[in-house]
Amino acid sequence: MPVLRIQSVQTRNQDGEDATFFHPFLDALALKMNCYASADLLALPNPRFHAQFEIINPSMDVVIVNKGWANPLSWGQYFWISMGNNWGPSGSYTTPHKWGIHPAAHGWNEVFGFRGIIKAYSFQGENGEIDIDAFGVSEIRWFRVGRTSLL
Amino acid sequence: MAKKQDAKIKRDRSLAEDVISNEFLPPPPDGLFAVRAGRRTKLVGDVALDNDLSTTTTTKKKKK
Repeated sequence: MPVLRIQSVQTRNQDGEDATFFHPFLDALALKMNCYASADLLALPNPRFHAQFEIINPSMDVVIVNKGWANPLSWGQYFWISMGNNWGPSGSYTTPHKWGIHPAAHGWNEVFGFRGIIKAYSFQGENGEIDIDAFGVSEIRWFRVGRTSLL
Repeated sequence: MAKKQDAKIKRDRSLAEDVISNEFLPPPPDGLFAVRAGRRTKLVGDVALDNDLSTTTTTKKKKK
């Protein structure tokens, strides 16, 4: 049976560390999912994935960011995907502010959660994109954004 | 000391592998954020999952 899982999720800063505290304007925040695809899933015609990078505000218990990305499954069984620039240059970092999660915009809530979702599809020519019963939802990775208001 | 050096070499190697496997990809449709992906090394959880998926259990009924 085809399997697509998220084994773990990470919140990476500009130093490549799996960090839990971020400056809202200066630190990079890249959301990373470590994934697993079974061999029989990859053997299907044109296997693809659609991933959602969600950020949760726990004080409201709502998803405040939900960004999707679809692509062929082309990195073997053990792979990672990430969203957000944490490699620079520093002006190009995807900061918490750019993600839209400065605490000031969320009632001074400072703690947020990252949750990943991934689903599998198979593109089968005339039949189009077929949904596969293979998907994963990660644990929630909690992290804090500082209240600093200065640039 | 040698152990420390070994650990550093291992860490450097794993970082290097991470970089080698990076693929810069086109941005997602909304065009806002960059995405990257790559192969990763096999983890303990993967081994368990592989074993689970490849194990077929057959149960034979005992003859009375």
